[in-house]
Amino acid sequence: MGDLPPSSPPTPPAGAEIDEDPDVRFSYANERTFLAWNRTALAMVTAGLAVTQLLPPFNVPGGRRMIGLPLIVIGTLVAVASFFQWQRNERAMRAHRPLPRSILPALVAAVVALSALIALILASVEGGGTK
Amino acid sequence: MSDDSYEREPGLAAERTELAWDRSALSLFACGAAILKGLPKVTGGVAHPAAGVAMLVFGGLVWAAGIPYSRIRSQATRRGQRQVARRRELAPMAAATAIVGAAAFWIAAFLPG
Repeated sequence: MGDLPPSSPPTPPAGAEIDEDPDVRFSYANERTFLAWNRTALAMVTAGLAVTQLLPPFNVPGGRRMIGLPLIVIGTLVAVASFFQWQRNERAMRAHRPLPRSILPALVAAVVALSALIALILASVEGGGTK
Repeated sequence: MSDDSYEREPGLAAERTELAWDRSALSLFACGAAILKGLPKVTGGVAHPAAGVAMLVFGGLVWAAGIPYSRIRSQATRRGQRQVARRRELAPMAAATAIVGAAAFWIAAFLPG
């Protein structure tokens, strides 16, 4: 401890966590990504609500809810998850670690595909109504 | 030249972020207005106006919480200070969207369309 000359740069001990302000542009990009996820969440919630409330009913009971509810549920989850993702990214950038992988894109893609598939099946079951 | 663009870039990033906040608050207001004025006309429902009003209120909360802060940060960046978003500035946006989602779930699951 006392052996070090006073002019030595502070060397973090091996394995110590780095905590340093990242480039401000990266922090802004992280914030914009958070906002973009929130708008995506809001779009999914609104789309789900529109499907359940505005579409004419299918012959299959609960058909509209089968399409709309997964969208609303995933939209709500995405809103919450985006906040924690922003926090994780910020921490990773401060510690000079690679950004953690996010499951949100795959999750959203899967649920949107599922809703589309259900819609396709319901529309097919409906048969040839009017156009 | 590259140094100059590097110096100016954080200012533009701050401006883009400010615009992203504007779009986000606007999308909450637009969804709230659509639910408030649009859904009852189509469905004749009674609970939808409440959901629309709730969304407008949350939109206002997000506006109040996010936009002034993003402007302050943007101005600080132009002055060369480092000021980035904190948890308490972003949490209201996530909470507002999640609450809107929960309200939408309730309407979609339990009210007739």
